[in-house]
Amino acid sequence: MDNQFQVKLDGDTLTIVLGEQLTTTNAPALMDELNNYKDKGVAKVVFDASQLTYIASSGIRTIIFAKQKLGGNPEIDFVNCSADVRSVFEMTGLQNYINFVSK
Amino acid sequence: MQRVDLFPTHEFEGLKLRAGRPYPFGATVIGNAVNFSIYSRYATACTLVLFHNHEHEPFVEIPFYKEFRIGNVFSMMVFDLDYENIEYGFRMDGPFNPQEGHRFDKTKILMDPYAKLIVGRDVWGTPPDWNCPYQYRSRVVFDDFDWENDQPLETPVNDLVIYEMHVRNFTCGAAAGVEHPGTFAGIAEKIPYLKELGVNCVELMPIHEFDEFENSKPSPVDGHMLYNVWGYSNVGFFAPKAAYASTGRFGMQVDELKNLIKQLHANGIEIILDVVFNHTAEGNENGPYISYRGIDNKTYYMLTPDGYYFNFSGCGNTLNCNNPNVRDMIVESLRYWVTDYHIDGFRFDLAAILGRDQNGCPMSNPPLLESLAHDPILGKTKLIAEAWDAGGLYQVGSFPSWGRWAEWNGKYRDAIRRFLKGDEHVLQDVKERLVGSPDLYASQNRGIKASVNFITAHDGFTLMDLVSYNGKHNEANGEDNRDGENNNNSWNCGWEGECDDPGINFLRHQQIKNAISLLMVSQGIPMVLSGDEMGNTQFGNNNAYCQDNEIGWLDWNNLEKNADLYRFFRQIIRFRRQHKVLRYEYHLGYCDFRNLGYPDISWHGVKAWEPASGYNNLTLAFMLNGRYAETDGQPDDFIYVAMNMHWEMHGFELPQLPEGMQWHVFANTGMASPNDICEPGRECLAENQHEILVGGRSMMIMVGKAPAPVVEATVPEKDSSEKETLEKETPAKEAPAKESKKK
Repeated sequence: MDNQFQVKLDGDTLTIVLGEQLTTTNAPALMDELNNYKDKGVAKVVFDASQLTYIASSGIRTIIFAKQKLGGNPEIDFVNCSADVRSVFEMTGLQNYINFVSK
Repeated sequence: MQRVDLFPTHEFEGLKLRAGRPYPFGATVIGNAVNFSIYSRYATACTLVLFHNHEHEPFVEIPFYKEFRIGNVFSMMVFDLDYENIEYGFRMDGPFNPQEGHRFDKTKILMDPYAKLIVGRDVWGTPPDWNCPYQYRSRVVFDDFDWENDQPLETPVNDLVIYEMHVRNFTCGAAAGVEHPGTFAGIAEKIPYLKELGVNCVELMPIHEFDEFENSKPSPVDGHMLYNVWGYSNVGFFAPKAAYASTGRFGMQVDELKNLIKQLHANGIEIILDVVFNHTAEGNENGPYISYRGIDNKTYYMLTPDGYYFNFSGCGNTLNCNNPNVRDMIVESLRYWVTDYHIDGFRFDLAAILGRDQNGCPMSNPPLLESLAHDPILGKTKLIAEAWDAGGLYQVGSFPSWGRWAEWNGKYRDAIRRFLKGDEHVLQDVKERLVGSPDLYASQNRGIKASVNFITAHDGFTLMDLVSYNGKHNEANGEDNRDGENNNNSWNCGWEGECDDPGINFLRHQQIKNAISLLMVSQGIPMVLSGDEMGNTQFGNNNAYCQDNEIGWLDWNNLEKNADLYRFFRQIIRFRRQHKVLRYEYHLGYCDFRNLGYPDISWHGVKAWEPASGYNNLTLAFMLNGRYAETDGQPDDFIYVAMNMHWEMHGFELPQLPEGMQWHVFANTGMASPNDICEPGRECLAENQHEILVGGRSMMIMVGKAPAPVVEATVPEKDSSEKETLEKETPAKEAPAKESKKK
């Protein structure tokens, strides 16, 4: 199955373009992918959520993983996040991890 | 380097395993393995059952090998599980011999008693698939919430103003105006409201996972569905109710609740959980297998010699709280809520049961209660007992406390209600209740802080209904009005139920203001029922446990309709919080033991210094000497409270104040809003310093202090009329024509 994400490292910025969903079907693969960048000096992680309409708990864990486990406490940007997805972050108090960016 | 004790030693259907660690019980992530551990004294075999999320059929069932059992604990590590996407349960084998107390049935899949995440009832009111063989499903929890610098607030218990609320009822009403009604997130949206009201502690009715569909049925009255709304029927003791979270459908209830707690704490509001350790949702011998019954029936439940369930809870079974292993589970649960959720305190439902031995007999020194009183992790956690049970054990004033336990003071409720409605011969009782019930709590150094004072709570009438109904009206519950308390000490002010008589409605508001005034000037910890501040009604239903509708939900339209009540509550709560003299920790001396010129408290009647006043013992006053309550060396004000529960107006002679001080009027419940109460600190100078007129069924609260240099300049414009009217126009009006004293 298509994992529905693309990852690209540009300098110390890791950009992840998400698909329509980040759920148990693709979040573990994203987690594995992120693992490859552990302790690689990533200073900023940019999630392009322009297409994202649904995020499940496993998807949110992936964001937390990026923040807590990549090393160096990278900044997390969420670009073009829909109101629904943002609401999940806010209800669970995880918005503090994230900069919401509109482009 | 990987530890040698984290290498797999066994394999089963492709899954790598090894003997687990007996402690802690439950499912714990250790390295790349999940450690499953479960205790059963009488089971002969155990199987771990793993499901992919939401699947009916398990993908594997792994027996615990003989070498995976130590003592009576089955433990096993399973490696490389995608634990975020699995649900787990157990099958237990053992004897089925109910007379001996054993009900093992290996055809049942059982929830982990230590499950920290339970799914299966994720969205409130969504009918479950009853054909699914595993209804309440254990999951592995994540522990990655970022608390930043949060910790339990440790507010001194005597400074608390508790607000008892139900997660769903609080914001489900259409006018609540929240984005996520009926959820933890909905409460978070209302934090500004709670702050404005002035409460500094919310007490949540049960939030442990329960099943709203337990005993659900259509109402025989009008067909609407009756649910188990209140949730006094635990499925699990470690997991929050998924359907109380907007994010429950994503399995994010833990995060949503933690976020609520973190936000409450950031706003100076503590959180107390109402916990139900007296029984479980498994009911009696006809109930379902959820967990405990199938894991170790004889350990978890109090059983009669014939193997039937003792029913001290009134709910079918009784948890065997003083079995050492059940006791450990309870302690572990409470520690978990404090350490992982930063909970500030607990209110124990039917706590008297926790002091019964395994045969149901009350113990003089119950080990569970003692353990909790002395537990190191719970050392600064508030412990509040509902000190009675359904088996007739009533321990208000005598609950084993070790100086740690507070109690819901049911005697306060009863005495104040009777006083409010004008019962005679309750004055002596009322005097005890107003000063922190020394007759109940002066012994064992328990102090005033042992008394949680309340007039209304979830059980019984709301405050508006207390002054609107003489009898309960629970027909909508579908039990022919047999359920619920019959002895409510309520008075309808002359008409049963809602009415449009302005006189009656004025009197009802007046009585509500009397009630909250009494509560806020009483020594002890005041507890307000959510919605009372806006005159919430349950339409006479005093047992709305099953009403998931307008009966149970707060109607936020009342905030505007009864704006005077809300304003009064707000000011009187602020008044309490500003005056340390109202919030003693230990009982008063009733004399001038520090030679400060006046006793710490003195009793008065219509004549100063003469409390025995006649008038059928319906008038009473007291004065608190603020010099006994210093803050940073600064004495508090004098406070004088005149209570006239007689239906006629009476003059009360004011005690003389120390030189340089004068009496100021803070509140007069007989006045119409906004002249019924001032902003604390901006009280109006009393024109007559020797006597006040207190209207029928009214109270006046006076503050003795040095007058402000220019009083007029300090009175806000909107309250400018208060200065003239609070005192002069007493009483506001005659008692309504329909008023008649209820007997």
